[in-house]
Amino acid sequence: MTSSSTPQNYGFLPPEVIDSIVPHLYQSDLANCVRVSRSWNDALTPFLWRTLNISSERELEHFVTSQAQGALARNAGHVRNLELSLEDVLNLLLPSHTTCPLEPEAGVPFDKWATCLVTNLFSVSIRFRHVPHDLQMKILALYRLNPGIRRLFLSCNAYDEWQASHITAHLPNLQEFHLEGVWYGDVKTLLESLPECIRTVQLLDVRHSSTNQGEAAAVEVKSLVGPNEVRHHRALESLHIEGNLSGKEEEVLVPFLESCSHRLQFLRGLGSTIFMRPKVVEALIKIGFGWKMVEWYRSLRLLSDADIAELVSCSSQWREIHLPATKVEPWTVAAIANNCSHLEVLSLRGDVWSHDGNISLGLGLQTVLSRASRLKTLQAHSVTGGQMITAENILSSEWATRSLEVLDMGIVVPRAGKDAPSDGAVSQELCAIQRQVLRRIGQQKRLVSLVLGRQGDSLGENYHQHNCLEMTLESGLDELACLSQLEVLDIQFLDHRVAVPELEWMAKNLPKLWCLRGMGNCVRPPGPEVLQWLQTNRPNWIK
Amino acid sequence: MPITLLSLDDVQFKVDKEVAERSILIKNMIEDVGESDAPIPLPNVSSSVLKKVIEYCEHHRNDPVQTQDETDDPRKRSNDIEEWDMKFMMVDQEMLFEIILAANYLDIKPLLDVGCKTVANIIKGKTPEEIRKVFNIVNDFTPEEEAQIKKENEWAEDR
Repeated sequence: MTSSSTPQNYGFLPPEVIDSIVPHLYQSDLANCVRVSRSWNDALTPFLWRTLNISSERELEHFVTSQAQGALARNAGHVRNLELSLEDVLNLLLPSHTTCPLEPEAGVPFDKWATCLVTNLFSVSIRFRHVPHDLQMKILALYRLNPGIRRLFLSCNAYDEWQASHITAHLPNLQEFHLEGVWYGDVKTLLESLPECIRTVQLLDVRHSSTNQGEAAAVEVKSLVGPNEVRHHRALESLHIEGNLSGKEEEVLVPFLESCSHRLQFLRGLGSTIFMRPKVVEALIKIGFGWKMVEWYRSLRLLSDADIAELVSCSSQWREIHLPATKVEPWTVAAIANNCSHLEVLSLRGDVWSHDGNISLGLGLQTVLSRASRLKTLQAHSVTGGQMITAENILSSEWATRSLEVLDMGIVVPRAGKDAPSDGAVSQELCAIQRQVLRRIGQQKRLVSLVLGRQGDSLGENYHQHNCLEMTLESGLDELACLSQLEVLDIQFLDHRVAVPELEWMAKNLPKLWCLRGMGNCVRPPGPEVLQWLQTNRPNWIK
Repeated sequence: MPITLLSLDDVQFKVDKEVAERSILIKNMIEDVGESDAPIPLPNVSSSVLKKVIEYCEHHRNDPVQTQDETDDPRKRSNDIEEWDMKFMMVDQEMLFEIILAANYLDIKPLLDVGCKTVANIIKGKTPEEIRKVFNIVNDFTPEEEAQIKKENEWAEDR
């Protein structure tokens, strides 16, 4: 610590600390910093040059001065990110060239730049409205002299002549590829010629046509990657493709998807209809795609219960299923229950204000609970109306999971003397059921968030649930004693009775609880002694 | 179980394990050595700095573990310092840099971040002369040299 005991030595902060400060500064701040002193100049000049983005005429004017060009010659090695929107800048970076054939057998004339000032590029972003042929050739030269490029962002309208192979085949280390703007060409070749280390692909508007030129490009790619070599894309994690594949979706996508691996986690495209192609789904199953349904929403609206059930049945590998609750109907529920062995998250959100009084959902959910041994999150909060989840459902079999972290589910549990006629025996039995349900929940020792009670239409005053769990010690609150991780307890839609002893019990047994929802806003406002206890002991619980 | 930390100038601090483990360095030490009563020596941190660092860790003892998130424009984030952290960082410059170095050494990423954001906020929008004044730095350029550097980097001045 001696080297920094005085502020004058700020210039000698360890490089990793300077690394952490610099990202918070604008380039103009860095331009000031390098003028402060020699030591600041030495430490910060590399950062000043890290990103080169000359995008206005004014900046270009300052950039073409002899002083700036001298500095460029000295510092070009520091440039890692290049953002190109002016052709003049590209010309400055490629000072000399000769014309020679690209590949002897291909016979394509190609301007070969003997030198390129920047050779350490990591990320390139190209924004030209149009890309004439000679500009393409220059960009290609830039690629070839910067084999380290990891990230390529193209924002331009490009046509057939901007062939697939020209875009990515020369970048052996490319990991991230974004293509904005309209691109016309052979999408199949474009995808298949991507380098093997590619991780993210985003094509926002591709128009597929497999023309002769496309085939020519394919030939050319082959000549680059060697004869009969099929590229694998096992590192690919994310693919987003929009546009028009002219009815050739499966032909274009399936071979490429088959070259990917289980690392592929995110797939989105064609207005979410990408999953509607049986062969695509088949290819995904083959590679063990990390299934998620999140991105399906747009197409789900058009689908029937049976359609969704069929989609769910495509795989037994689902890790997450998110569905709007309106779409949770009998077939779908059954399909989820049959394919939940890998399921970690089941989220049924939104309101169901119907229905026909069938109780398939409660039974279905219990089947899921009895099978999904990896389940961590179950959200079925606003599922109401006829789609009830009853205590009988919940207790009809053991739960397979012991790792629930989030449970959000309204359970119908009649209470003695409230929701059912009370004589001694019935009343005792109802109390016992209350306790059993709480015990079942209390077994989930990893619970962090527990939301009980459901909001519903036929539930009585203010949409609160009457026949509900009672959060009293008498009816089994103490069954939750193992929930040492619990942070959030939400009982706001319950017609509950929570008195001071219950609060004291919670304060003692739920050490991490910081949020107790439903004390200020419930059917029966808490009595003055409860309020007073809260204000004195846990003021944050009352919010 | 409390952990004892020993500063450069031999001052002992008793802190909860949970607080001490905000420092990845200490966390790894505890894991390697196993729990013991022996104080953990921190030969790079003085007691005045260690006291501040512990104050920070106490306040943030329950924070979730930070995940590596790379937002598109990290520069924007330098404005989002929590109020408590901002007040915590209102110290003289020597202490500010000592805290940053200690956070770096002890591997307390959120504290390092807050420290670096604070430094960045001091630098932002200032002329070279103002920066020299704030950090008490002597200008060792000749006027010609400084003019030359300004000319070289003018393209970056609007960014």
